Amino acid sequence: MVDDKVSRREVAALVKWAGMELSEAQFEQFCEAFPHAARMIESLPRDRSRWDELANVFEFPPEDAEQ
Amino acid sequence: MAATTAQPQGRWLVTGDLHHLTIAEGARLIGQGELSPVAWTERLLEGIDAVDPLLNAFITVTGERALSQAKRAEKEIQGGHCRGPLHGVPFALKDVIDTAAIRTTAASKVCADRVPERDAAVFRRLETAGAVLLGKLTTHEFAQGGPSFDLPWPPARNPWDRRRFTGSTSSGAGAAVAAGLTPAALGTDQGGSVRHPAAHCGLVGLKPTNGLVSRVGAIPNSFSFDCVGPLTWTVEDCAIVLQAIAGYDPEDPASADVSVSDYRAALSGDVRKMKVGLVRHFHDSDIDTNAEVKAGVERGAEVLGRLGAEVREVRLPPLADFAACQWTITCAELNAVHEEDLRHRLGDFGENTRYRLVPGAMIGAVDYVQAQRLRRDLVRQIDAVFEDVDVLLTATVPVLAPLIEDMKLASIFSSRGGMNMAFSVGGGPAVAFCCGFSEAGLPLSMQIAGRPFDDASVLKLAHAYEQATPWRDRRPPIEIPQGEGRPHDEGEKVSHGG
Repeated sequence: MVDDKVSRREVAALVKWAGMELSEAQFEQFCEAFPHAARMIESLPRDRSRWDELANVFEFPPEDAEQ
Repeated sequence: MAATTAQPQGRWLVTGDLHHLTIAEGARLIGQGELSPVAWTERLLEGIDAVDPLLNAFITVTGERALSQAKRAEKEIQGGHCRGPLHGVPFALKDVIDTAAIRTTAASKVCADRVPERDAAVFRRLETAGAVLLGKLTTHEFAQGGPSFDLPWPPARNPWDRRRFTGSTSSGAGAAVAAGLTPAALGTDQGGSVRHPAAHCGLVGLKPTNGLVSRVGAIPNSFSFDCVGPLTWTVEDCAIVLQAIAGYDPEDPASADVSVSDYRAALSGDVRKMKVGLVRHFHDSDIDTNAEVKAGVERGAEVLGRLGAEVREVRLPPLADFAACQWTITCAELNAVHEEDLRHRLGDFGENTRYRLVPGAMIGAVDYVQAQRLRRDLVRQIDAVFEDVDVLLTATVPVLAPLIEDMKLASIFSSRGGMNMAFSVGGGPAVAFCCGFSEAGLPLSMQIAGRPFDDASVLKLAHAYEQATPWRDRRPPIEIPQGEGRPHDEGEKVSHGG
C-alpha cells in the first residue's frame, strides 16, 4: 500500500512515465511494493562532497596511460 | 562413495553410488581406468529421470548429447588423451547461460523458445575441458526474484525438505547438486544467487572475483554485479571447476587481464596464522538472524581457530547500506535490460518478477548515481578492513530454508540475502559452504570472503574447514533408485552403478 506521502495518482504517473501499462491487479501490486522500494531509495546517503566519484568510473591501467 | 573392484584382464567394475561421486573422485577413477564416463553419465541421466519430477531442478535435459559427449570423452581417454580433471565429468548449467542450439529460457515465457546461436564463454571452456553437459537448470525468472508458480516451469524444491525453498536464484543448480543429479553446476550471482542456494542446499558455492570469469553469453541481470560461479559438493570440486572457467576474455568488457592461480594446488596451503575477520555484527545486530545460524558461524569460527587461524572481530558498514546500494543499482539495471519487454509484454513476466521490476520505474537517475557513489564508499571501507585481515567470515544467510508456501512477494525487499550482498557490492571472492545442520536437519552455512583476485585464499580456508569437519558425510534424504546400468559391448570396460 502506498503511504501517506505518496498518492495513488503519483504512483500512476510514475508508471506512465516508465511507459508501462499495468492491469488493475498489477497496479495494486505496485502500490503494495512502492513503500518497500521507497525505503531503499530514501536510505541512500545524499550528503556528499561534490567530488565523490561513482564506483564505475574508468580506471585505465598505467601501461595504457603511458601510450 | 563408489568402490572399485579390480577385474582380470583389464576389465573392471565400479560398484556403489555414482550419484555421490565428487569430481575429484570421479576424475581419479576415470584416470585409473576404473570408471567409464559413459556409465557415469548414463547413471546420472537415469537418476534425473527418476527423481527430477520431485525436485524440478531441470528445465531441459540434454541426454542424447550428453551420452555422445561422454562416449567421445571415453574414447579420447582410452586413447591416452586425457584433457584434465573435468574430462568425462558431467555437469549442468543454470538456464541463463547460453548454449548454442539448446534452448536457453531464463525460466521465462519471454524467452521460452529462445535458442542461442552461440555458446556462453564458460560453457565453451567447460566443453574444452572435456566436461559433459547433462542439461539446463531451473532458475528464478531472469535470475532474480523468488520461487514462482506462474512461470512455464515450476520452482525447484530443496532436496533436504521438498516443502522448502532452495535459495535464489540458481535454484535448480542447488537442488540438482545436493540431490546427486550432477556433481557440479554453474550458476550466476549478482547479490548471492550462487551462495544463497549453496547455503540452503548444503553445498559449496563460489562467487568469484568480478572480472575473473567471463560473463559473455550469460543473460544479463545487473551489469555492475553479475558473476558466473560454480556450485559443488566439496571445495576441491569448486576449485577444479573454477580453474576451468577462470581467465581473461577480451569479449567481456569487465574481464580482468590477470594471471590465474592454481586453485586446486593452493588448497593444500598452510592456514595457520591466516588472519580471519569475523563480521559478528552482521548476524548479531544488523539483521534478525536465526539462533542456529548464529551458533553455526560461531562454532565455525572456533574450528578455524583450532586450525591455527587467528580469528578476530571486525566491523564493516551495516548490511542495510549494502542492501540499499545493491538493490538500487540492480533494479535500475534490470529495468534497462528489460525496458522494451516491460513496456510491450509485461504480462508475460511472472508475478514475482513484476513485483521486483516495476518499482524500478521510481528509481531516478540521481538515485542510481548516488547508489554508485555509495558503492565506492563501501568498497573502500571493505578494502580498509582487508589491510588488517586476510579473509572475512560471516553467516551466508540469516535464516534456515523457509517453506515455499510461507514466502511472500515482499520478501524480495527484505535483507534475506543480505550477508551475500556485502561481497557482491565489494566485488571480491566469497565462498559459501556448509557448517553444520539445524535440529530439523536443514543445512547451516557460512561465508568466507577475500581480497579481489585472492580467490585461492578463500577456497584454501574453506577446504581446511571442510576437511576438519564431518558435514560432507551427510546427504539429503532423497532416494535415487539404483539401476543396473547398461553393460557395454563385449571387450569394453563394464560399469554398474548400484
